[in-house]
Amino acid sequence: MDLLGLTLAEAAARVRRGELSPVDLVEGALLRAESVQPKFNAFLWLDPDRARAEARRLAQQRLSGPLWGIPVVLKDLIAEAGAPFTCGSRRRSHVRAEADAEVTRRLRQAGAVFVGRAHLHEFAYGVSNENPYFGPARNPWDPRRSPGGSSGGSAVAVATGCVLASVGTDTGGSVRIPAALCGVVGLKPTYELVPRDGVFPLAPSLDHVGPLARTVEDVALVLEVLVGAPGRYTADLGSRVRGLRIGVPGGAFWELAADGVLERFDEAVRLLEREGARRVPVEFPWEAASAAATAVLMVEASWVHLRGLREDLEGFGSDVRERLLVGLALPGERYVRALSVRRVLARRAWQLLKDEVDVLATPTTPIPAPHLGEGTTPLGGREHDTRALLTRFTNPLNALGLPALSVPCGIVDGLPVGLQLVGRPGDEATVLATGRALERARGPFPRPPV
Amino acid sequence: MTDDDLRCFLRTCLEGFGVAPPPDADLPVALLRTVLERLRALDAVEAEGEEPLPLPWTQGWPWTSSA
Repeated sequence: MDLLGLTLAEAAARVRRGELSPVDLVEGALLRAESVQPKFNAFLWLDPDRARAEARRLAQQRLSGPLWGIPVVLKDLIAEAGAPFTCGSRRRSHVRAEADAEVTRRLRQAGAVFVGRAHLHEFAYGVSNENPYFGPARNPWDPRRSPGGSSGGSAVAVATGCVLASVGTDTGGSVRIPAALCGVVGLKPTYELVPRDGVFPLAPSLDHVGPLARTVEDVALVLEVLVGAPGRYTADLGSRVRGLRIGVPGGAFWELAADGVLERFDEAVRLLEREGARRVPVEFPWEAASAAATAVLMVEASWVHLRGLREDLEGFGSDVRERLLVGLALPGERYVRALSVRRVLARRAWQLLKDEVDVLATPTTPIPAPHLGEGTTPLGGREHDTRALLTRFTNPLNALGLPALSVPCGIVDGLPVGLQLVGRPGDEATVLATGRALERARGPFPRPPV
Repeated sequence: MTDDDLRCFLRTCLEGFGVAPPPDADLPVALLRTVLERLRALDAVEAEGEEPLPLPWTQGWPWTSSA
């Protein structure tokens, strides 16, 4: 059973019709995972026996959930009872979760089968998924390159057909960035729409839990389970975008991007325009929103890890340790100001999305996947910090709490890039419908040469 | 502020939190400087009188300003 040939929606429908057994689906997932794991390192842990036992149990029961028998993997930051809960850290290499996170419980109740634990950047505090203890996850389009992070393992597992969906977390872009760099769909929902109980925090007021899958419909199906709202997001997925006002930001902030990325982005927006949407230029203080996100993230992350820094400073990887130490030195006034600015800008963004546009569209990242180990990237005639580049277009939305979806929109130098769609708070339905419209207009997206 | 000044500042902050890097540790001075410069963008937004809390989305959208 080759999962690459199926979407989650198709697989779920075939299971409902009795054409496909959870046992076959999960077996296909496990075979695929074992085959690609040595090359791409998407998983920190695979548990074939447990997954097969669960699939057999589901096959013998009456189908009663929308994800019945669907192979799924959770980022190893989201608790799963009895499974490792390392958070990608050597310091937690022996920790096992005692109970399910709330999202885990909901997915399990829906019939999802967890095949293992997805790789991540240490403590989710990075976007390259280069992990000093577990090795890097590798991009399925070019294994010399990063898959993005911090939910890199999740994106790789979906892109390589090991699972039909994953759930990750997004504090500055960590679902959307790997989704874009691996050519899959990823959603950062409205803040707190999806419960964070049982999810190890990075920066609590910026953390979001979100799904990754190969299509917008699949992401919508998983979101319905995570939120506990059957049908809420799939009912209107076929909505047309005629008359939809798509805000496209301009200015220097958005122009710092590779030419190919800007071209694919523009082509994608034109596809939506041909479907009847209208492009509206917008202005917004994105630099300030990004600064607010940075201040809040760094201070809160250092607060989360203060005890660890006191007790075992060398137990952190050097890149994570550096950022945690800097977070302790940022003036308190900057953090408080960031919170105030965040309120001002969130209100401004809401007004923009109410009065002037229905969604915003931006590239998800300014560059396609960088090489592993790449600390700086040349762009616009000078070298830029690669990590800061990758989060440039995503982290402002974390500060604003708005739902943001990344949909593959094209290929640049053999690597996928994404279009980011941003909506009103709580309006995942419009964001998802617009993403679906782009998929229809774009046609099938190529698969990685795995 | 020179790098030495920043290094001293950073070490003092860390010690205040009970975090003790070894005396010869290479402290992330360059990163600290970069982040502090980046946070200057916060000053470009008029936020006089805007209280930092609560988080806007806990009040339900839309909400009124505290300013």
